[in-house]
Amino acid sequence: MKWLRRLFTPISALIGIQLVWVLVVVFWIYWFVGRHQELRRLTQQYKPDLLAGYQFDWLVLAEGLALLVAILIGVYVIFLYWQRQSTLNRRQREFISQVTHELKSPLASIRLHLETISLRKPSPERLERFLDTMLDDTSRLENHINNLLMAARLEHGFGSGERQSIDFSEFMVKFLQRKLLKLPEGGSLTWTVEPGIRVELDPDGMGMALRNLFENAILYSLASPEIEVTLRREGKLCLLTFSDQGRGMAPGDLKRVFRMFYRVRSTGENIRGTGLGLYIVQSIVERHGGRIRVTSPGAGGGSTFHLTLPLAREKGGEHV
Amino acid sequence: MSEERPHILLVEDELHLARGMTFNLEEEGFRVSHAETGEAALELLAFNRFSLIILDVMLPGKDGFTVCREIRTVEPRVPILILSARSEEGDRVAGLDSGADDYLTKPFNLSEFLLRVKGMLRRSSWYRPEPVEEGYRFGDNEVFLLSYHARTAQGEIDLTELEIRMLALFFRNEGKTVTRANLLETVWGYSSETETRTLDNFIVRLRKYFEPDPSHPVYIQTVRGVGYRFARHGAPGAGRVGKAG
Repeated sequence: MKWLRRLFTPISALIGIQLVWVLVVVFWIYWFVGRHQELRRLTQQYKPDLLAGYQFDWLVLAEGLALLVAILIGVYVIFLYWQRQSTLNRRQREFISQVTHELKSPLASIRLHLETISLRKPSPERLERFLDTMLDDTSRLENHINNLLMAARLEHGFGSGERQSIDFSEFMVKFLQRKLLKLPEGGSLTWTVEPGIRVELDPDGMGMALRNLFENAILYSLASPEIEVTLRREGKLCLLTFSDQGRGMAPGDLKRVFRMFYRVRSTGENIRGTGLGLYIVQSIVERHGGRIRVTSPGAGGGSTFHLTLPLAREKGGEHV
Repeated sequence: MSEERPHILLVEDELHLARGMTFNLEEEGFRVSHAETGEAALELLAFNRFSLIILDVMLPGKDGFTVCREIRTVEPRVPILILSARSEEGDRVAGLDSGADDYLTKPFNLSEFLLRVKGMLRRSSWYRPEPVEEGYRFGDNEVFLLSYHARTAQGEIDLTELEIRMLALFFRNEGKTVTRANLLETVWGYSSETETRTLDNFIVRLRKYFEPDPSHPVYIQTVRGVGYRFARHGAPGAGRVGKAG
């Protein structure tokens, strides 16, 4: 019975039903035309004057066929929307499960450490380590909650705070220096940043976008993450690249990764994350008048995110 | 002395949680080895013997349920405690179906976690029957408590430490109702107030092994609101069989 269940997929059901009803219509037309010809033959035989000036009405046949095709297209469109909706529902279910995990893990760590302090009365040195761990977990929780709130705001068309002209080069270097301290053991983070690039941006929003790009590189790294960042001017724009030597992605995933809830996966593998990060990055970059795309030589070859942002205009109208 | 300390394998990719759990388990006198992935855990299992495995579900790479099934192929007896952030009944059933013996949801209470670990680690020598009583037959099934395996209508199966504990309790109380509290206390070492879905899911697993029709059990019967009763109905010729040795 399992093979029967495997055979009965939505797409096979759709094709089957369409085939059945199209065949029924074809048989009906065949029968109808047969009767029609028989009637003509009888008329010809017994009352030929009735056929004087009669012509086969091709227009009616063409209209009928057009109606048939329109119904087929309509059914197919409904099917496509239904399938998209069911994919979205499935992703949402997975998302809830992932979010539960991402929120509960730091919470479990905080609770465990608090109960450990209460139960074991640890030495001051150990207590300090526990407190550091809990602070780190608290900021992880905060990041997840901020991502959820930001995704909800972006979905409703909000999300970009007030922009100001800032030294993006300095902003990037400070961000990367902070992240260097949080890099997993054995990982590397290198950067080449052209100094003095000014961009009009919302520091909080852009900070969140960069943080998500960084976390994405870590989540999808094969072993120890190797991240390389460059920032340079290119005409009226600045170009920021974020390369990792991680899992990379298949050509079909290159555009889909920016969709809400979408997560690149391979069979039997479990990768953490909620599928919100890159959606947030793209939305924030686009709200800054920029663009983002990703390139990858394929699965296992790492990936590079290319961000372009317009340079800030000086009072004289020059880009800097 | 240190060699006698129970050796626990902790499979958890959340380093903060792993460090906290390791600290507490070591404070309780256990030896702990930590693996961040299922693959690393299987490598450790190839060269070490563990008294208990604590396994997270959401691991990078292979998920915890898959790892649990793979562990069962090399270590059919060792008690496995699954940790998961997911608390739905379906996940709990999937955990026990994959061969785990207990399921704890995150965030958990430290005292309850330690209680469960100690309960699962208790030596089971007290219930071991005499060698002559090793084979226990009911229906098409024959259970060998000492060698942790059984012959069933589906073929030979290996049994885990906790399954053996539960079966031994049933066999000793043949025909009598065993209360939920007694089962929880004896098999898992829980206090009777602990949530009890694990017990019901565990019973489902045993019925799959031994019942001709698990949805209409004849051997492991539910006594509504009280517990379970082991009976030999519909199994002609069932009973203890003597076995020399």
